[in-house]
Amino acid sequence: MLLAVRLSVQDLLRGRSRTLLSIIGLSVVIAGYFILSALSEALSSYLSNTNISRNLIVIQKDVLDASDATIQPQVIQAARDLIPGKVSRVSPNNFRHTRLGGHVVQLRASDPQDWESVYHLALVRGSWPGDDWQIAAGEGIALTNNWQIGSAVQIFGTQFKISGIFRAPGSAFASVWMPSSTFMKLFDSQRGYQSLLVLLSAGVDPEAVRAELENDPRLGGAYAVYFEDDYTRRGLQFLKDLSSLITISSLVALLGITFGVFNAVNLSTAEHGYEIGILLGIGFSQRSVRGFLLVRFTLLGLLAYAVGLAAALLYTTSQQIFNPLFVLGFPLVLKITPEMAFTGFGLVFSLTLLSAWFSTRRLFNLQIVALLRER
Amino acid sequence: MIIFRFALRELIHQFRLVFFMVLAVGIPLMSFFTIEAYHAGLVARYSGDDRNFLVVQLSGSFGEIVGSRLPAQVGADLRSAGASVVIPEIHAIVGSSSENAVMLRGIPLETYSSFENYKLVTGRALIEGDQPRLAMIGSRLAGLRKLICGDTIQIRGRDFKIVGVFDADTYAGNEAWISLPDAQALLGWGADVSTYLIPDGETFKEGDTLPGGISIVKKGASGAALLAEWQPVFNLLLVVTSTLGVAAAVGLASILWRLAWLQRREMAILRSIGFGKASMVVYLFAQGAAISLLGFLVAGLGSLAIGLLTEFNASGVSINAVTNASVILSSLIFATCITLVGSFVPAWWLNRLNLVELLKSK
Repeated sequence: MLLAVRLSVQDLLRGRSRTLLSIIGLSVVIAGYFILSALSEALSSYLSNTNISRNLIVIQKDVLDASDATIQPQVIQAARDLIPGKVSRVSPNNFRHTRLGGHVVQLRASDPQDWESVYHLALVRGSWPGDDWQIAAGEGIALTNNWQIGSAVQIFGTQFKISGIFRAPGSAFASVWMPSSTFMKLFDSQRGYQSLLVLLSAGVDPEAVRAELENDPRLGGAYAVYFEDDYTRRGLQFLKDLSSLITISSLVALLGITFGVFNAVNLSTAEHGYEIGILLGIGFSQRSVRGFLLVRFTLLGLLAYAVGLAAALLYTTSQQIFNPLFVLGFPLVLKITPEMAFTGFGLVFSLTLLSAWFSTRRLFNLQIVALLRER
Repeated sequence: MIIFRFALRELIHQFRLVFFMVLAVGIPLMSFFTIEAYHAGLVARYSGDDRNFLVVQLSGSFGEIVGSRLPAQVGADLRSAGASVVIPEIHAIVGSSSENAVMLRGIPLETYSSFENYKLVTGRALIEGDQPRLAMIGSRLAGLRKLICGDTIQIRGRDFKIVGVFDADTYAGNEAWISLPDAQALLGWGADVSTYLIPDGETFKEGDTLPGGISIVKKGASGAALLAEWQPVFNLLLVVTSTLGVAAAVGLASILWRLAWLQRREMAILRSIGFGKASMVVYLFAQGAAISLLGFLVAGLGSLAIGLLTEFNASGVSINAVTNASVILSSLIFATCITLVGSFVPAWWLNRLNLVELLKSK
């Protein structure tokens, strides 16, 4: 085995330009696979990141976009009546999609007292808004728009100042938050709140409370009560479909390795048929010659893997630093995880081995005399 | 011509290699083709600006799709400011998830036929004086839900009888159109509407703002803004596809070079009897073009199959792959780039080699 590795390394070094060309061809495919996998993971991670609490969401039935919804005061009261036994806190809120700096942004509003305890916003810099002209921005949206503490932002024709930048799970990462009072003044909203977040007390049966609230006569059958993670997933289902398609594309891209290695082995054996014939003629077994070829091309595949992984890491990191991706206000964080690297390694290793083995089959079906005639 | 035939004969001789090389070139081409086709599909859905009209909507919203709500007073203000025509509309997305979402449009029955672009497929259009709870729906929505005229469609828990099915290239083909009063009642909006359409070239112009955070945009701006939101993803996918194209070009160059290397003595003999250096270029280009052309055919068929088998539904809008002339042309250019790089690089390399050394090679 060691001899095969040594000979393979020598052979690869002897034909440096060809080796380099083969590595470039294969590593580009591998880099493409990793970037697509990272994109697919970024899309699907949204669905998995939504499982952040046992909160319930009350919203009008058949309203997909919360910005179109309204919630009546008696509905809020119905939830509040479950405090303290079943519910620990009720947080009415407002939601709107708007465009800031050319990007779609989620504008959210609720009582600032709920921001940390109910919505899990964690202040990273600055302070929470202290007056009606201040807002807080998520890290993601602040990064995209290059906002700092004190930056001026025009929303709905009114100038606001960023007082704080926060970190938050899920899509709130890329949102802008303001107190409900500011939202109501800004939009002159006579419609009141749009949805309701209900934080359950510890130890209660969440499904029982959800059913009890949904069946409360004050909701009049016009409101639906969802688990927060379920509600968010419903809205983001299309991301899952897109993620699946990109995963399939990344696997199809990897087929490039199979064809690349197959062709490389085929040509290499066509070029070296005479030498292989001599090796077999002087007593080397088919197994040992094939073993040498498999080791040679596996080494090539692994070198390409290392270069491809490094290129993909470089690309995703630079994309994240210089040009972060956002779609409809959702940040897409391209990240190559260790799991992806291991899966990629397994796939590259097995595809290389398989295609090299397959392409040497024909060679060993030939007689030694036929191989010696190849020159 | 001799070189050309010689090149193709060698390819036929190496048919196994050619088969795998066609797939190696065809896969990146297919990815490029498919991405371009989906991009074209997205553009077709969300384009359709009408230069004759402006849209009055809530600032920063996608008023023509969702997210805008204006009081009736705005309509009156527009009229008193000099707008000759003020057309109210409601645009909303109803449903509880992306899968069952329906794009809803509330239209003024007395005027909508003069400014909406649609083609009736079956049944009849909604007309002034129609009773409540009637709807006409886009053909794509009808196809998705398997609905025909006379059926009922449930919108926010209420049944609407379908009187007509219409065709529209844009996202309107996924919409359900009902009368404005029905939409207002359904959403509980009172007299509020989503947008007002006003003629361009009168008192107001694109970019004007009104008190209360209202802005005036070109018709079609909502779709253009949504397209722009998805553009970064398409850009990233095109970067990946282009790198796969580079891999295909490198693979093609490597294969053609090695094939030519195996035939180096024959090539040297041809050159020594008077064929110029250009013959090597023709030889490799013919082989590269043949492989790329076959790869292009594989890619086109694969992309068409993917387009037929897949469809995205996001918030009530179905996006299909659209293979139009622009998609075919850009894919052909991509294939040509692969061919040129894959052929000329090895040709240049081999032409640098000494003729005497090549003749000694056997």
